[in-house]
Amino acid sequence: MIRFVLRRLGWMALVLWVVGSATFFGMLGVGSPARMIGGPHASARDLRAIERHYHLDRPRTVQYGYYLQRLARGDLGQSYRYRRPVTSLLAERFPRTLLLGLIALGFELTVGIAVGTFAAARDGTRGARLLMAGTFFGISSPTFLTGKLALFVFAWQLGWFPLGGYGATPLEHLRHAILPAMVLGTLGMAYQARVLRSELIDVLRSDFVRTARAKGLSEPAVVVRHGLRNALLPVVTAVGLSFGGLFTGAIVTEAIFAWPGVGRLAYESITGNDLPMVMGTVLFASLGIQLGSFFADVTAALLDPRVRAT
Amino acid sequence: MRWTRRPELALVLAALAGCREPHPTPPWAGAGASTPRRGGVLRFAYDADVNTADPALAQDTVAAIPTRLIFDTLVSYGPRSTEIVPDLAERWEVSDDGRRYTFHLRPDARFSNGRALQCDDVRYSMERLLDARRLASPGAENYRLIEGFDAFREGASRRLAGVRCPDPRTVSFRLARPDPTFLHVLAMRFAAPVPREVVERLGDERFGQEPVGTGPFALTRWEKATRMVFARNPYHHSAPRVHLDGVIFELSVPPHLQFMRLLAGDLDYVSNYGVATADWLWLRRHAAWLAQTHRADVPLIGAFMMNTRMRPFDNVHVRRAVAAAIDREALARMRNGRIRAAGALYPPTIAGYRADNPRAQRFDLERARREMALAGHPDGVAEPFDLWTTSGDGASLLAQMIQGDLRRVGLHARIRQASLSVYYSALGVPNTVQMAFDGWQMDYPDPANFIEPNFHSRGIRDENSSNHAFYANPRLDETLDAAHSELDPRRRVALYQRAEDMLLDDAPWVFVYTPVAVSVTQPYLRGWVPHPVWNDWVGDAWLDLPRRRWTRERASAQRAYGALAMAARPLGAQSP
Repeated sequence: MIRFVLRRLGWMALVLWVVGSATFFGMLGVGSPARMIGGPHASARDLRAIERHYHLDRPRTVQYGYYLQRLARGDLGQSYRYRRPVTSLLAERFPRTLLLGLIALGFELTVGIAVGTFAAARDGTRGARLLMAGTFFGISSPTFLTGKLALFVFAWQLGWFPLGGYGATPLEHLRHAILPAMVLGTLGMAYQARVLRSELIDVLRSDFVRTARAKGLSEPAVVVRHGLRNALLPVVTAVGLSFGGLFTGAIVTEAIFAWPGVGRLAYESITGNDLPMVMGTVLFASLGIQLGSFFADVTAALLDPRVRAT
Repeated sequence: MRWTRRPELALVLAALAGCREPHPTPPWAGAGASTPRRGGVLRFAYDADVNTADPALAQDTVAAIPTRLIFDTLVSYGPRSTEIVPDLAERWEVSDDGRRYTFHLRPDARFSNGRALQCDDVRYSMERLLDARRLASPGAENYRLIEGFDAFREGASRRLAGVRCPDPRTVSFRLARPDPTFLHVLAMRFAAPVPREVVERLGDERFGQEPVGTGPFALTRWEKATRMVFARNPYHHSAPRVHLDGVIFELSVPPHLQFMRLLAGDLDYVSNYGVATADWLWLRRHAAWLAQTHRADVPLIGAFMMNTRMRPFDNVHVRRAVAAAIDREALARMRNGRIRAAGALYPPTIAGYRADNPRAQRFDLERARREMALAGHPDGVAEPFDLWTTSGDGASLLAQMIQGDLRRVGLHARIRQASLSVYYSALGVPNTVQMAFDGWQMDYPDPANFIEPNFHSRGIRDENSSNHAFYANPRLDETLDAAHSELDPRRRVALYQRAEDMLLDDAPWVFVYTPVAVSVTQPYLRGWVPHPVWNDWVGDAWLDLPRRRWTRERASAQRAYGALAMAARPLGAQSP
């Protein structure tokens, strides 16, 4: 198991390096960062001073060398736009994205499992069909659509939620997070519900379930105690993968709901050609996805020894 | 089957029944005061984050808003005008040769920590701004005419020779040559005095996050990427005339949320950036909200530049044909009145603007075809050219309209959309971009600021050219140099108008529009009018509190007040 974990960690480091290097050289050739720092009215002489200040006048390979050198010390550099350390900016924003992600994950799991279980237990009924149609909508609708729709209906028309933003107190942060978290978790919720339903339908047709029913157990007890427990394995492994997806999904959700997290920061830094900040958010998101995937692999390996051999 | 047996149908019907217009009228009206009242906290928002509140570095539109609240400058603009007025300097003298400016600081000018402002702060701030190795400020070059600029900037001199402190309350600037725009340049936020001991204690990076200035408000809390909270600066020289107790400036709030929050009564005003096209159309259908709308000309010229060194625009007749082929009024109609057709360089609020200039570029299809024939292309140019534009929806839409107009005279544009970074970088390199969506938003209200960076041949370089059309005209250069040093205001404006006429004749740019800013205020927000120089200036506003539920009668009284306020609006500002 230890060798498996070490191998997996090695792959993670390699993927991070490839993603980071590709982003670095991809962004470096795009436009003029000095112009984005100085703005459209900055004179040529001011732009040269900015280039010298940020070593942008050096060859790309030299800049890459500087970057790797700093990275080795855990320093992600200074944001061009904010003129502050990238790590400080990520540290400010990460707890906010984490809050959103955790609530989204909670929504994804509780609602996804409830819907999937209900749809499997009542398979073929109108209610189950309706729920499955809803999950189909959840899977196929892009976040920019569901987000704006949810905002319009639940916050604007019905007034159940605040109109975006982050709030000023911890309680307000929670209140403001619910709707964007639900939007962020919709895709995962729908996916989990559909996976669980099909898995649970199979399990409920198994011999041991038939035996449980023959013993006179009530249907809810059969479904929850015997069916659900055995059908949850693919859901648990999928959670790890979807956790990484929450980071990338947050870019759109945070923009729609004015949620000041890492996603919003990533969006602003990409449009502003802020290379150190883009590198920081890309490495951060990549690490999140890698860790999610790592968690899923380790869980699968723990549950199924055959995985460890591959 | 009855509908009640179809739950999905019932859901759709319930959703439709639930759709309504939550706020067709403002939720709140003012208390009805006729004179300004003190108190209250004004809340507004912007669709971007503030990167720094250091005035030497705050170059973008959003960072300019808080720095303007926190920092005063030696001279400034009147509440509703483009005229220079005293601010931290109570008076000043200009020497006869126009090269020496002597400012006398107000005795009551203080930083928000209570310390009195002294000449040394002004000199320290200017040297800090111009120190290329320290800040690399994007605004430094604006002060290049101060004597000793180059030596100081290149590190050859430790002091900026052109700034002197004869005594603690007097500061003098010596210029390398006369410059009538110097007062405007000093009114820019880059030159705001900062307290030396605070900057040295905190360091440059932290000072940008915990600024201390001489402005009407002090920053009390900054929740990063969320909101900035300001309180009235009790040490401000005009504190008794600042009505608001505080300001909350919310950050990174997209336009759709700003507008919804305004209608819900959660924001006190929304600026032009928060009113999308759909919102503007909605406003026009709702009289109560429309009465709360302010429209004002933006000091910006929207244009398309043609590269005078690249085919087919190296031919002046082709450029003139383009200038005559564009139906500017149709563009204004397409933008629902959010832009005003323009045919010359200077916008309405800038000296030198001529509403009835007979040489202005205008739509004349016959003339356009004649010019194409004179250019030797009576049947048009078969080879298509690239028309560059930025990735925004508005720019893209304008480019498509222009593309259609040009096809009528046989010019075939291929639209190339680029990110801002790529776009600016390409525009500044010779022989790269044939035609592009371009324009200029002023740094300060003077014709020099519009014409010199964009058309003087000095702006042509191998990279980062500010003269994107690569237009070189020695006669124009001569006129601009003469105008820049001319001390007589009338002769100066006449020179800039002559220079503008040369541009209209040679057409390196086709001038298309000036934007019309639409802002919406709550009925209880008073004294707010669009400032002709600054975006989102709220320092003169007051809140008519306590606010009360909106009724039609209160709205009538409000409109009567609005009619009185109209009389004092600046030139070019209009009601809907």
